[in-house]
Amino acid sequence: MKIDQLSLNINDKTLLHEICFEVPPASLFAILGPNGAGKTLLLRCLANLLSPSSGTILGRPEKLAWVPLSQALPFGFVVRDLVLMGRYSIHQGFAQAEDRRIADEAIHRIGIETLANRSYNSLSRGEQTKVDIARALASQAKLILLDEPFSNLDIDAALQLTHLFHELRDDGKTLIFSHHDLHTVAILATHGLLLKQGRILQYGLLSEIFQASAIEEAYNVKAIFQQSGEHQFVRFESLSRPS
Amino acid sequence: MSCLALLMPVFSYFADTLENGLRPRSYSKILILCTVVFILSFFVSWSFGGAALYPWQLIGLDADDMTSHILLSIRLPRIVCACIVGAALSCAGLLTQGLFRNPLASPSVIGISSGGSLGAIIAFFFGLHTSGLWTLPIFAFVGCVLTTILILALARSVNFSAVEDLLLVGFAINSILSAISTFLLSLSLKEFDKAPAMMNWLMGTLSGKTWDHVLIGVFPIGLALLASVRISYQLNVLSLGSEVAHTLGLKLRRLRIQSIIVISTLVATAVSIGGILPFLGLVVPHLSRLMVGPDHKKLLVISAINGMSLLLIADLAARTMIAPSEIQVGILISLFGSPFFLWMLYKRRRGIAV
Repeated sequence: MKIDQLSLNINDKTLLHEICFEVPPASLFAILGPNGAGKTLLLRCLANLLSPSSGTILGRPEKLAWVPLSQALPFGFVVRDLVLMGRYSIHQGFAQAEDRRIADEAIHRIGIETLANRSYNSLSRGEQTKVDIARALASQAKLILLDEPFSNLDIDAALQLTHLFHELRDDGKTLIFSHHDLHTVAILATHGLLLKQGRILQYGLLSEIFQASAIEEAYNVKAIFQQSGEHQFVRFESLSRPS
Repeated sequence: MSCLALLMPVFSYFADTLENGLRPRSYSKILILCTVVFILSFFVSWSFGGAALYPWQLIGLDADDMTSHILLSIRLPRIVCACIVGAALSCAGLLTQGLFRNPLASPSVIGISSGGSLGAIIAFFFGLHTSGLWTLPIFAFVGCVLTTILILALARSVNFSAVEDLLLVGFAINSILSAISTFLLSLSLKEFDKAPAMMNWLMGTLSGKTWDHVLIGVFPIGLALLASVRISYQLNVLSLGSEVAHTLGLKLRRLRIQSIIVISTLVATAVSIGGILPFLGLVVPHLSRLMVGPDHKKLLVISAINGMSLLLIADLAARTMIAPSEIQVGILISLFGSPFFLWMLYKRRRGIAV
């Protein structure tokens, strides 16, 4: 998927400036940046929920899935019915045995069989995100776009979700997600871009964008890389409030 | 009052559902139960009133003209109207809740009913109500459509899945429309051919309904209910949020337009027959949701049946409680509906998913 010269104006304010990047197939692509950088706007443009003011998006798959910031639903549907809704474009409200089979497969793939008959609103945030992803699988989308899937997850749920992301990538899915937390991103993504005030600072392999200068410019923090045996660690220091 | 005793098992069932909430029950069992309750309330309503006359007296040897006149020309059209209006308002309430993704929405809460009744009042005011059977329903329909469009336009700038916002906007719209209605009423207070009819409209009543009213109601409401079967599953998908629904291939614009037309047809026709009957569209879908869960496809059927039963029972109570005089059934429903509404708000505040 190739994004070329994408700009977005809302009320005469330019919120995204001539964004150009490519998303390789079967990648875990993180859109990074501080609050208000335009991450979610860019994600919405990619999901065809917002039309960009100018620019083109080439090679976007016909079928894509949107996983919103997890929130309570107005009516207490159970998980199995919610996943079955992923087949809406095929069954149009009249689910066949085939649709149910594919929905059950998706539930099995995500490993949420035990939740299948529970109400969505009684689940934890991490579980809700898994249900949303199961619905995306049921819809057989090649591209899954997730808005801040890792926000407010405890470490165990975040690790489970990370594991799931890597499995889905191995299945050939492309996942693009917005993410604001630098601490965890290194284990999450393969590719990414760093956004600040609607402009791309860096993009490419995660190792390429994870550079001290780019992080300093985007987040106004100093990143200090340390090698310890096989592992590389990163420590952050605030630039605006020296300690 | 003996008829009310017959319905005790029904009330105790409702109370049981209220207490235990969402419990997996088989849909077909609930469907049969609700149908039995409906048939029971239909025949009880038919039999009791100013005088207890039983439908089987029609086929007996002792049938006289008076009995058949009361049963067939006075009571039967009235209870058929109750069925039509009850089903229409309940389903309209269900569709409104689905459209706004908000279980506290209903045509009367957010002002669609007031819009419809203002349309009817305007027709009355200019003396158009005598100029044909379909004048009132058409005016009410235009009122409903305009109000719903106004509310949806506001919904673009206000987040309507937030309960408080919706209720505040509904409060404002209701106040404006009711003020205009009351103003028109006050201008016509001295015209004795208009004022009482207009008053009845605003309070909601089923008294004096004839087969003409049934004729007005049965076709538009029948068609609208058939159409709502089509959109009921789409409302399930919409409940995921408009963004997710869009990526799942739901045609949002088409669904919204279809819903507005169907809701407006249902409310307009119900209002032009029975006036404003508040809370029916709120209470019935909610009770039905406690019985069969959130699937709009099942809810549509159960809400329609329960709406008919509830309005039949309410109308029976309105006719018999202070017989030979009558209470407006709208007043009775408000009396019992408002506490229910408060109870729902209370439950939401405590964070229990309703």
